[in-house]
This record gives sequence, C-alpha cells and structure tokens, in this order.
Amino acid sequence: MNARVLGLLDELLRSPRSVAERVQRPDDLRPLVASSLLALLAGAGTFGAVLATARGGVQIGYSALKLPLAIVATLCLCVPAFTAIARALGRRLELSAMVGLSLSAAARASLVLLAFAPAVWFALDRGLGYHGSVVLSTLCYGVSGLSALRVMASGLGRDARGVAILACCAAVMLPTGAQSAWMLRPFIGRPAQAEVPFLRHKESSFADAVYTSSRSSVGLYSRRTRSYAESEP
Amino acid sequence: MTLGDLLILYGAAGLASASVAYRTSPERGRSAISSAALDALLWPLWLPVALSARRRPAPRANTGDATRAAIWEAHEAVLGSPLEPLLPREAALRILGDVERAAVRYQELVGLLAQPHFSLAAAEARLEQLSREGASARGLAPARLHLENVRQLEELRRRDEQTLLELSELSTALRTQLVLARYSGGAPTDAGDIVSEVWARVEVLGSTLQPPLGSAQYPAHAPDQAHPAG
Repeated sequence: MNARVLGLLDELLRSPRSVAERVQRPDDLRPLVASSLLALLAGAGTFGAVLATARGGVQIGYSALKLPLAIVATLCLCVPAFTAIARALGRRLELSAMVGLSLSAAARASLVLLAFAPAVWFALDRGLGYHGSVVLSTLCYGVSGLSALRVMASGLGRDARGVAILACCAAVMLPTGAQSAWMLRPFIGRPAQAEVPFLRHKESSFADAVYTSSRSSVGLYSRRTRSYAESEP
Repeated sequence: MTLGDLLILYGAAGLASASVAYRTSPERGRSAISSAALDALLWPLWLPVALSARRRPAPRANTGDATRAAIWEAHEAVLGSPLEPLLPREAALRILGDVERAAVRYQELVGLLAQPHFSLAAAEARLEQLSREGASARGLAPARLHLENVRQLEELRRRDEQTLLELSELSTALRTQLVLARYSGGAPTDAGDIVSEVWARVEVLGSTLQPPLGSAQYPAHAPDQAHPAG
C-alpha cells in the first residue's frame, strides 16, 4: 500500500473538510475514490467477518463479503438520487463529485467500524448472545454513520440548504440501505443453525419486518408474524 | 425479473461501461486496464469518475489573437479623432507586442507542463518515494528542488493565463467603449480607466517576460511615453 493511499485514509479520518474540497478537483478524484473503495472493503469486510465469529465457519467469509457489498449496492442506488437532490435544491455538484463525496463518507464509516472490530470481537468471544450482538452491531453502525455524516456535511455545506439536502439524502439512503442489508442477511448467523445460507430466501421487506416487529412488541401476533419473527439480521 | 436476470443486465452494462472507460481513458496501459476492470464491476460508481478524468478541462488555448484584434480595432476607432491620444499608434503597437510575446510564452509553458518530466504529480510522488525509502537530506535535495521548480513553472502558467484572460476582457470592453464614443460623439467616461487597467496587466506580463534578442517585432516604448492617458 503506497504512502499516498495511507495519506488519503489519514485525511479521511482527520480532515473531512479537505476531503470534501478534494472531490471537486478531477485530478484528485480518482485516487480518492480508489482509496475509499479500498478502505470500504477492508473496514466493512473486517467488521463483517468479526460479527460472524460467533457463528464461525463459512459465515465469516460470507459476512466479510456481504457487508461491503451491502454498502456499495446502497451507494450505487442512491448516489444518482443524491446528485439530483443537491442540484434540485440549488447546490451544483457533478455526479462524479457526489460519487467521491459519498464513497469517502462510506469509507470513513468503514474505518470507524474497523476501529470497533477488536472490541466487538472481544465481546463476542466473552459470550455475548445473539440479540446482544445485534444491539452492539447496531450501535457501531450508528456511530460510524455519524462519522460519515461529517464528510457529507462538509461537502454539501453547513447552511440551511446543506442541511435540507442532507435530510433529503438521508430519507433516500436509510430505507434503501436497510432494504439492501435486509436482502443480504444473515450477517451474524444463529449458532444453532445447521446450514449457513449465503442469502436467505426472499420472504419479506425491511418495512414489513419493522411493522411486524412493532405489532409483536405489543403482543399482537399473527400467522405471518411467525415467519417474520424468525427472521434474523 | 429474477436476481439472475438483474445480474445479467448489470454485467452487460458493466462490460459496455468498461469499454467506454477504456476508450476514454487519457492514458493507456495498466492504468487504463485497471480502470476498465473496476468499471466492469462497479460501473454505477466508477464510470462518472472515469469520465470526469476525460472531461478534465484542457488548458485554455489563449493565443491572444482576440485581444490583439480588439486592441487594434479600438485604436482604429479613435484614429484621426480627438480621442486618438487615448490610444495612439505607438501605445497600441507596444501592447500588441507584449500580448503576443506573453501568449507565445504561455503556449510554451502549457506544452512544457504537459510533458511527464514536468509533471507536478510525478515530482511529488518521487519526493514521497525517496522519503519513504529513507533517503538522506542530501539525497532529497535535488528532488525537492525539481518539485519547487515545477511548482514555480505552474505558478507562472497560472498567472499568465489569468492575466491574458483579464486583458482579453478589458480589450473587448475598451473596443466597444471607444467605438461607442466615436459614433455617439460624446466623451468616453470610462475609457481612460480601462486603458489604465490594460496597461497595468501589460506591466504584469512584462514583469515576467524575458524577450529574446531581436524578437522586438514592434517598437518598444516606455509605458509613460506610450500612454498619454496616464
């Protein structure tokens, strides 16, 4: 790994503002995007692998592959929409600059996940249960998402217009990302499961699962609920 | 549509994108091949980036022709009129000469900086590489000097480009101002200011110019002699 890539990754973590300036310069965009992809694969891949250590076996490889895939798939679907939103709200950003900005943000989040990986691994090794693992990983995703937000905010501006663009982008990204991850589950895998599938059968959407879980939480169960309740992240 | 159908469509689009990325790549060889390979896999993200490298704005081909034409037409507009002292023949010729020399030098700088030996990125990478390899301060000094020289050349190119651009705008405004004054018969209120601005830019160009011996196509005059308007 050459010094330039390491320098860019260091800049991703330390200086979101200069990363946001870099995406506007075509000369800097290619190395930044390439380094971001590398960080995303390494960071999210490692975190995915660590999450699957409780289940072990082939699940580790699957999760190492699927977590970066979920993030990349979400970006592929969302970045054109981000560009359209930014332009519609009066912020002139090229599609290539938005790709750079979004990938840099995702890379920063992935590096934060990488930083969490040893602690999560320790917790899983100490016997943290399945549901505890889900909660812990959700917390890690939340914190890493907040770190990504700083890069996006630096690129889109911190004025009212920038905040409005960011809110609209979040409204697109959250359901898309959730559904992408839902389709690619399981990431953790139940220890008792005999076989580990790469993908679960298509049985519901993320929104269906949230709706059903909300009903279940207040004691309303149905036949449909049963199958959803067995679903796993 | 099944997942398999989607993957086939994605792959087909990826192959088409890879072909576009390879054809439009500014370089050939390993860099273009790796760009095309990445594009085949991640075309929704990589294709805009690959195309942006191609769309990189080429350095403006400022030959100064439009500026010189505007200056000469401005001079002709006041020729034989009471406004002639504003832009006399000697002053116009002096400006034309300086603009031409600056435009030639700018073109030379653009050509020079496009060569790999004068690449700023390559000079920075070389210095980084030497630092990483643990070269001594003495060993790093030539690479630092080279980098600094390339930076200064780039700075000169930027300054010439900016000044020529400003001169172009000013000379266009001067031409319309003097033509307007000639036909309206009134006194050009802002023309004197514009002429002063033009001279200021010409002085900037002159401060970085080293005219080669015998290249004085136009007779040179001191600005204070050639610029009656002050």
